[in-house]
Amino acid sequence: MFKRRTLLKSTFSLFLVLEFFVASALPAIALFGGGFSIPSASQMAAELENRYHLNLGSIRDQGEGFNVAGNKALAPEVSLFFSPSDPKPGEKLSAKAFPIYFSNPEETLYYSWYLKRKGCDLENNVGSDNLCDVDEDGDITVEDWKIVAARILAQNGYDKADANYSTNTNDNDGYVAKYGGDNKTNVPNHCYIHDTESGTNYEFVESLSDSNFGCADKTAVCVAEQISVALEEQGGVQGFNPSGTGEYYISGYPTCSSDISSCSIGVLRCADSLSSIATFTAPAGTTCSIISEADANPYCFHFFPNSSGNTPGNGSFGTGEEDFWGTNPEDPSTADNGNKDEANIVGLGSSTFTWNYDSGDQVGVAVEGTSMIPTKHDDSSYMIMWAFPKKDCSARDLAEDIGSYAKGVLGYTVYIPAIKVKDADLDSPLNKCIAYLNNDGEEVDKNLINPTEGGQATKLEVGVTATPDNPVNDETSDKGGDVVVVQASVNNAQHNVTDMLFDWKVEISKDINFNDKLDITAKLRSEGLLGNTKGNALDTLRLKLDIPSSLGGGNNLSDYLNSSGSGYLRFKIAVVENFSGGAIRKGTSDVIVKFTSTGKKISAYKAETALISGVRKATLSGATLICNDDALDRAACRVIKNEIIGLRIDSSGLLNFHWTVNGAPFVCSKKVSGDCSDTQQNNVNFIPVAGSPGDTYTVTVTANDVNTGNALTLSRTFGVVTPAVTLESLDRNIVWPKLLGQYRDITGKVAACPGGLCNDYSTSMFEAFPDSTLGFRATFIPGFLGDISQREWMVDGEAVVESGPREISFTAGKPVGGIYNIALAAEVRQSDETRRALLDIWGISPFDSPEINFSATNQVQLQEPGLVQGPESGPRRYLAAIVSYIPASVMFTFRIFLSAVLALFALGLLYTFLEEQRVRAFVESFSRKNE
Amino acid sequence: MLETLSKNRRFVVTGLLVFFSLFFMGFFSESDRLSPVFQGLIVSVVFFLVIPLLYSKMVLRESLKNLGLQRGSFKAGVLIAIASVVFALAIVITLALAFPQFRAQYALPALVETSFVWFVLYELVLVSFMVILYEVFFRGLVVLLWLRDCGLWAVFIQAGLFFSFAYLSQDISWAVVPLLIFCPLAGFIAYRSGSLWYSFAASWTFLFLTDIFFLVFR
Repeated sequence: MFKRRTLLKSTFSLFLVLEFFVASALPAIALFGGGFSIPSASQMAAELENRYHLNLGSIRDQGEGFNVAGNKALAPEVSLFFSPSDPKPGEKLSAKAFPIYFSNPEETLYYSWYLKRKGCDLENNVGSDNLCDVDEDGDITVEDWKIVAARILAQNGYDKADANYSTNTNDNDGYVAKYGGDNKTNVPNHCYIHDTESGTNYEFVESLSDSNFGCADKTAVCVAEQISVALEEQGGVQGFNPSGTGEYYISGYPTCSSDISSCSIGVLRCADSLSSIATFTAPAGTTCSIISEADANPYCFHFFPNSSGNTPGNGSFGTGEEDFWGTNPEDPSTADNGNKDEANIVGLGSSTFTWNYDSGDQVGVAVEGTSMIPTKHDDSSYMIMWAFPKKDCSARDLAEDIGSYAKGVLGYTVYIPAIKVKDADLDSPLNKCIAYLNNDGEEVDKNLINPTEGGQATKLEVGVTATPDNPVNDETSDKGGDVVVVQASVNNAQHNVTDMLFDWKVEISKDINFNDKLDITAKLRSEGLLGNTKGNALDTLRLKLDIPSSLGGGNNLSDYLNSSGSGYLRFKIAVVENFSGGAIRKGTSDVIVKFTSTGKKISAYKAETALISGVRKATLSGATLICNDDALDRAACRVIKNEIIGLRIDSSGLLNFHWTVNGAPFVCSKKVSGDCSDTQQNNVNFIPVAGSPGDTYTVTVTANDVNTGNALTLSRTFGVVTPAVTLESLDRNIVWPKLLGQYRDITGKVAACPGGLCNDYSTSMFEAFPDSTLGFRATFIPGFLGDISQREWMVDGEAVVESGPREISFTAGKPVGGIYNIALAAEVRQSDETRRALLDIWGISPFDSPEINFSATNQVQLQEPGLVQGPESGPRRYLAAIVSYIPASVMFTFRIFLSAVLALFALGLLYTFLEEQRVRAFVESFSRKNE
Repeated sequence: MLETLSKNRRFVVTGLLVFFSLFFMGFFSESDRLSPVFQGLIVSVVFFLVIPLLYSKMVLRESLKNLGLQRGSFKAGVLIAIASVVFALAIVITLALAFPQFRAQYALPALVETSFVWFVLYELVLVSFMVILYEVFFRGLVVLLWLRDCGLWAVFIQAGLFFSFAYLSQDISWAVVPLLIFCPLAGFIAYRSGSLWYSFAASWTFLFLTDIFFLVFR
């Protein structure tokens, strides 16, 4: 900016010099040579332009910018930042001011803080005991707000109750404030206010009454076309031709030069006020007169907190002022920040203001300093100005009169824009920049800031989704209902979900409007169908739809289902985002899920086949019901490859059936089965299991209720598994699984774990006593394979005939330590009819449906009855443990050697006994006894 | 009665030991927790080698020379050993030519048949080890220590014991035919030489040449 201005000045000076030369013939000849001639200025300029490649357009642009460059000057500004940004009541809150566009250092600026406590709105005549009226003048004014802040700054936690103000002490804590900052010494003081609209800087003067623009008792202003300001064209507005009924604004103030008034922007008008609804009239004439500097009497002031008899910054800070401000009369720096008490009162370098925040507090600061804008005075002065945090302080807010005064500078008459505030505001002209009472007695806040501003007050945007679309509830003990997953998302949160509180509720109703609803959250939790419903980061909720028929409290599930067995679940979520200051943001949302709870189910059959017109087709006639024996199969029916699964639902009260498999329509026609129809789908269907182990088929049938027309949707899942078989003991008292060891139950949920120790039993190793009858049963997966499989039992490699369906029994004739190896080899092969049907109906080749072989083996170890006992205790427990760790080879070798030693010992004993002398002595002794 | 037993207590007690050892070996029940090979090895070492040695030294308190661990008659030992090996080889070759299943069933471990190093180790270590066990028990304990007083009958009795042992253990096959063939010959060598070393050398040589014969001519 300065470079550009310097360039403009240089260019302008160059033109002046050139004009001087071209106005003189001799210099011109000397300059240009050639014959004697007097070129015109335009010719010279043209020559210069050509010679120096100056472009007229560019010069014109520069000139136009130069004309209004004075209005583009950067006026001081200040920004406030709060820490913490989300304060809670009672917490220390610091406001940090960042001033810019001041020419002096930050620490030399005066920071006049003001704190408006909650409830301390501007009010007159509040009485003598109002706590907000800290200066006790009977009114709550901006001064009270400034005094509150100044006391906090000066005291810095000091308790004035500890002070003794009765004794007149002099702790030398006075401070003389300097206009424009602490470093401004011997510099002329000129205080200005920056008009943010026009960009004009007005100097504060005491009088502008002698200026005359023909406006009598009105204010002469410049008016331009704009919006928001209505123009009254009564009286004839000469020279001003607004288009239609447009609106206008005050673009500035006229100047008076050589008794002629002029406006840089717009036209001269007389305004009855400087407000946005001013009425403009034409001036009486075009002539004007202007006041001199001496009559205008410019002045400067501070924005310090002021109170009668307690004027800060005057260098006098006696005991009375110490008492008023609450500082320590015996400590020159009560705040212990290096500043004297009076310097703290005026806010010297106090860029940070810390106080105990309370909800509703508003704060601000006016920073006084010297701007970087030079004055037009013929001295070293720069404009002394104030910066406000919202930059919401216009000259017209303060002015009683705005104009200019004339001053002779270096032989020229310079017109300096000036402002005269109302007489009532002379003591504190800028208080209206903070707040004021309008004509209706309402407070108008200008530069007050709420520390919690910044968007925290907006509502959280919460979204909720739920899957699946049509879940099915299972009222039975099978607990095969769907799992509904509800996911909440917050779009505009400032924190992570871990810092947000989620509170879920689940309601049930028979209608989607939830006119008759029931909160079943607690019931679901008590049934174990629902996890935690309240907590941080709980953005996902999973509900197992196994809602029982009784909802507790005399409520039944059927009461909240419509006639078709459908109901609605509403998942309501309330999200709270907490801020460390105690502030919260909330958001709520919900999602409604329609579910079905009905006794109707899709029954699964192992389909039979029938030969019809030479084509093998599927039929449910004589088909075996499958997947109905245990809860697992009822929830997810396990089938094997190349089965034909027949499906049927109870058709009573239903019509318009629509079957899908894995979301794709699946039609059963006469080509598939005689049970089906070519005209419309009915309650029967057949699916060929052509997938591989691991694949799943989700069969869904939708039908309409005959009475209500509502859709009923039922689903069932089929999983293709590899056939398997396990061998189980018929009687665990006779053949029991081998105890492998124990493990500690750390969950505490296993009931059969006394003392927290759970027994770990083998599934393939069993134990029994000799001579007992060992019985085993084969359990097939899927269960219906037990009826169709071909089985071959082997015990120690020898075939054994089944003693019952899928069972064998035999006597354990081996001695203790004997081992029986029991094996079952099974083969499953689809019948030829089924394979033919797969081929005829769905084109599945018989080569794709070979037999499937699988097997299972168990081992039974015969135990010594006396050795079968529980865990050892005492020293035997440790000995047993030691023995168990000795390698078997060592133990075996030890036993063999022990046997050898025993044999040698016995033989040695016998050999010794049979010694001839001993035998003879024994015989003789025996003979003597007999004699 | 007692006096008779006392007079023959060495014969009686040694006989009990022989029969106990054979009985234990024959009816020893294998454990499924250990390798059968390992178990057989341990039992064989204990009852065919350790017990005879300990019995001789600790119970009879006799010199191990009586067990055949001596130089013995070198001349008789060598000559009879050579003759026995030749004779036994002739029988083996004859049988091998007459019975193809002999050639087929006399199988060596595949690793031994395919690897010369393993063949050498097999012959020097395993065959030698097994021969020592048989020589100590059947020739040393039975022929020299127990039945010495029976004269040449001792040779046949020990051969009978060996045959019976093989029969009762249901281990008679073409693979043990060379052992059966050389059993009486080894007993004769030990009987005539009074030493186990010649019968051991003859047995090992015979088995070694038999293995080579089958490896070469099968």
